[in-house]
Amino acid sequence: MTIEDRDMDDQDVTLLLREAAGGIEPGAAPYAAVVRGGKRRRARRWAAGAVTVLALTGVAGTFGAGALMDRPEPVAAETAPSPERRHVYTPWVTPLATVRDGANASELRLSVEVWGAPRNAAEIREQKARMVRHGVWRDRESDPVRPGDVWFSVVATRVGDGRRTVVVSGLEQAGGERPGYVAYDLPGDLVSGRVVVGHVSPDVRRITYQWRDGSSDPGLIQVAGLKDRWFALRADAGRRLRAITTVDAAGESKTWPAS
Amino acid sequence: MGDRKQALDEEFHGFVMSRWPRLMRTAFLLTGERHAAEDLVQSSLERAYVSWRRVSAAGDPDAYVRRILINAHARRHRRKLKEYLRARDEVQEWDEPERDDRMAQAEDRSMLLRALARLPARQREAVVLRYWEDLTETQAAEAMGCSVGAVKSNTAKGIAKLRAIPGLAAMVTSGGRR
Repeated sequence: MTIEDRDMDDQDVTLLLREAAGGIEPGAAPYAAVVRGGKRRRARRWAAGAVTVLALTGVAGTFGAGALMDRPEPVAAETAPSPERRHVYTPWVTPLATVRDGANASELRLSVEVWGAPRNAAEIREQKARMVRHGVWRDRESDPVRPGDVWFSVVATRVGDGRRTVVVSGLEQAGGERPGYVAYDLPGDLVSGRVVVGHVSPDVRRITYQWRDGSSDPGLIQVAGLKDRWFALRADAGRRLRAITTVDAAGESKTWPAS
Repeated sequence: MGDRKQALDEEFHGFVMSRWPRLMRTAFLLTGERHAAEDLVQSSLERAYVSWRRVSAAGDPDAYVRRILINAHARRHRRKLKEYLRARDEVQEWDEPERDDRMAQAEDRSMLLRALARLPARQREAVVLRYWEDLTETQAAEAMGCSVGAVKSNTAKGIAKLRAIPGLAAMVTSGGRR
């Protein structure tokens, strides 16, 4: 049998794969980054099938009339050529809500910070330096860093000492199949009870949380720099969620049952 | 409660540290690129972290993470299918490399990776799971979320395509690798 017409047997395939796999030096496991990313994923609670998120936020109520305040309409996103005007180096900041926590006599301001998309390697480098200074790079670095990516974070700022906590962060999802809404559960160590923030696709005009004893329609907020519209809800252990419904601009509704 | 959490954290830490090299090599064979492999493994382990309590209780974390990894690879491949195929077509080279030095070995590896990359994703996954991970057809089917028959079919087609590349068959009998 010549080299040219020799056939490979199973053992040969195994040897070839072993050879190819030997071409990489795996390096040390990035354990800390894995855990950090895992915690962030846990916080995100993507709602693709709704069930997971609904189970998570499943006992909720709306904010009281005075609990969610200060919701100014943000300015529309700019599309200017310079990186400064595209907010590549400083984020757009859109207030979402102020949560007054009577139990802890504290006040927490929730806002969405959006970093514009860098267009090249130089802008990526400078954006990283600015994010490091801004104190968000540790949350940013585990997501891919590529030209064209818009990165956002939901920041909770404690009124009084100004302590900032990034509670949720991620890349804006562009195009493709997307769930009608996404909801995140804020960590319980920040507020008593539960606070949910979420966003709906741009075509959605209304979102309704249907409880067993009523319903709530959180207002939608256009966050500067993002296409999606955002909302906030305060969770309460006394209510059971039945379903979430979204209604788009054409009046079409979609419902995700809680179970 | 705290002790239980600490035990789970320690268990997860041990799992990550011990499985990272193997998972990286599997991902490398699937993606053909180091950074893509790192990204795939890290995101798979992040997902495992989220469900670690349940994963740990189920008793077979390797199978669970393997399933996540294969799913993630399949999803990414679907999303980038066009670009992927175009890129691979551009680097099609099957000249037999020189094989008497380190450079030749690197070229061999490159050739192997290109050969793998030319396989459709499911065939590549089946070949890698069966021949690199050394899984049974049943285990591979579980990891790929398909039937045993589909694993057999994808493996056979993938192997047939590899066998059809003369340079690969020749590599096995030269360079001292047998």
